[in-house]
Amino acid sequence: MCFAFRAHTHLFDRIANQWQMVPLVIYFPIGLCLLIVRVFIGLHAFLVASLLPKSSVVRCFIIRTMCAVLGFIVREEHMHFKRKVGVKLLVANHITDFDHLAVDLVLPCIVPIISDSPKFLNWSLGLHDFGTKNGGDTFTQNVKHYLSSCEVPILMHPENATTNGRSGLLKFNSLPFTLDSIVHPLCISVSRPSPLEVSPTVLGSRWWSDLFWILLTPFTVFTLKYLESIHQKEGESVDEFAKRVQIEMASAMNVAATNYTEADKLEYMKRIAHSASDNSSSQHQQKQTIISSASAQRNISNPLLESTSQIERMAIRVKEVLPQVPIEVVKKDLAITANIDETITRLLDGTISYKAETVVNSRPEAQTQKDSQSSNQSNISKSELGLNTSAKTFGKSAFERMRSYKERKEALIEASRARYLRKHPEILMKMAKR
Amino acid sequence: MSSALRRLMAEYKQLTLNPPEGLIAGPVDEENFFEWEALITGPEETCFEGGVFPARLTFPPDYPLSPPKMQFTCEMFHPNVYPDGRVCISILHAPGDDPMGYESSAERWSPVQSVEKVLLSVISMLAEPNEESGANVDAAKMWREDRKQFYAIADRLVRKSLNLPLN
Repeated sequence: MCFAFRAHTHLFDRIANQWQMVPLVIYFPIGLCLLIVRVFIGLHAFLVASLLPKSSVVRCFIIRTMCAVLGFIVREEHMHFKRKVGVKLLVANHITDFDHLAVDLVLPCIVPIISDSPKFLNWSLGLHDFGTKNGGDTFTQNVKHYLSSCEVPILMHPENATTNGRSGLLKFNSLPFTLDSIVHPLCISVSRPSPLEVSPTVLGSRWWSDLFWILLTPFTVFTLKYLESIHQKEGESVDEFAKRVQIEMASAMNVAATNYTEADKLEYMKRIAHSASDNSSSQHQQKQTIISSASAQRNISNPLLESTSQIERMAIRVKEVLPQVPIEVVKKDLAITANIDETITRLLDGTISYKAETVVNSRPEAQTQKDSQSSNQSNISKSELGLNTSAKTFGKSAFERMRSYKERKEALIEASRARYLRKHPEILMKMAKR
Repeated sequence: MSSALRRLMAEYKQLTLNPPEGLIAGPVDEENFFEWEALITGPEETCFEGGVFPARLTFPPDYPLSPPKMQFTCEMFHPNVYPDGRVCISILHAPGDDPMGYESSAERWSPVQSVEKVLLSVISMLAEPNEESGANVDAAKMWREDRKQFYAIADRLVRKSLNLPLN
């Protein structure tokens, strides 16, 4: 039943199990020295990149060498498919915030700004503002204008969000495919030498933490696999075209072409953040998680994601059925039963008692409005209005439950009617006259 | 017991013991746990204020993986409710399934959602119709162009739902 979310987990899952920690800890001091040296070399590389003209051979060579020193190595596969002049739109899957740099090293390109990266970095990093903030139409027009006038191709990540690229591709946004009728797909994969297989990026990480790991580990290999350019067929809709490219790329990468979107990733992150907040007793963090997904992103605690233990995975499945049960309670019981079904049964029939938590991250506004408004009417108490529909107990037999259910329904209608009449006394008068 | 049944039982219990104000939901008959009935109170300070609207919820066998369907069983006049009573809101659609093509990143169905959240979304839908979705074109048009008339119709529906005389 929880295929969907298992797939999700794999799509973004993490590195290191505990064993991989050992070499990492041993390596760490060396890595730290390397990091410091590389920061200074990196500044030089940055300067060179800013000074030399884009797409000059010299720049390519110098930057590529410097990046190799920085531990940023780019490998190319299927060179015979490498972009020919004329194809101006590159599409690639999205692994880290540095994908476009890797592509830029071997295939000078520019990337439309989507995220809120610092402005002064944009130019030297090859980011270009096409007016994304002014809405889709302006963006499309600007890009089309650019494509018709300039030779340097544009790179887009139609997934819109990063994945680890090992299980599946997110559903492609159709926008890039409206720009041109021919695209050049690239499959990016990122690896690090064993035994230091720290994953290049993790759910919710920021670009500077990814950069930190790139500079710390001995090297990071970005492998670019070129695919043959794909033309939009006649009569093919943009969505079909996007889907076809997605399937083509997925099969080249040996992963699934999923239907999950960027929004699903965000939702998933919210969920993780939500269960992460269960782990900390501090109410402050919980509040923040509830406030917005943006702050949730920052709040994700990495250790929770790292542990892929059996119980953790089973607990997530139980949470899918019973989201209101605190994850701690679920885990505790799973430690005893080691069986998902049994734990669910024990939670349901009350063998295990728990304090239900608020399942909802953000209740629809109407509810809060309603609360504040009804508190304004101080002269009528809520219980008098009869809007509280809760039962005192949940009957043991179906018969008991049905009876309580019917009674409560009648009570609600009765109370609402009384309330309406109190607000509109004129109806009561009319009814009395009849 | 299948996990769908378990989950529905859990939600039924939750909604019985601790329901949001003005909401009641549960199986029509416990013989069939996949057919529910819900009573939804129109939100205050809106044209549907005070009405108690019955609706039917139908759950798929693979719930909560797939979303339930919801249909008002009373007369309803609302931009996001089809004339036959079916409710059209994003939370009732699974990601990727986008019949109206307007739900970009809005909240979609996923197993973390629940009957309670669906019903709360319906309440906020009653309070604030989504003008982009035209499940009921007439209602959407009236909501945009003749709000007064819309309010009058809504008030009639409220009275009807409470079994009160219409004028």
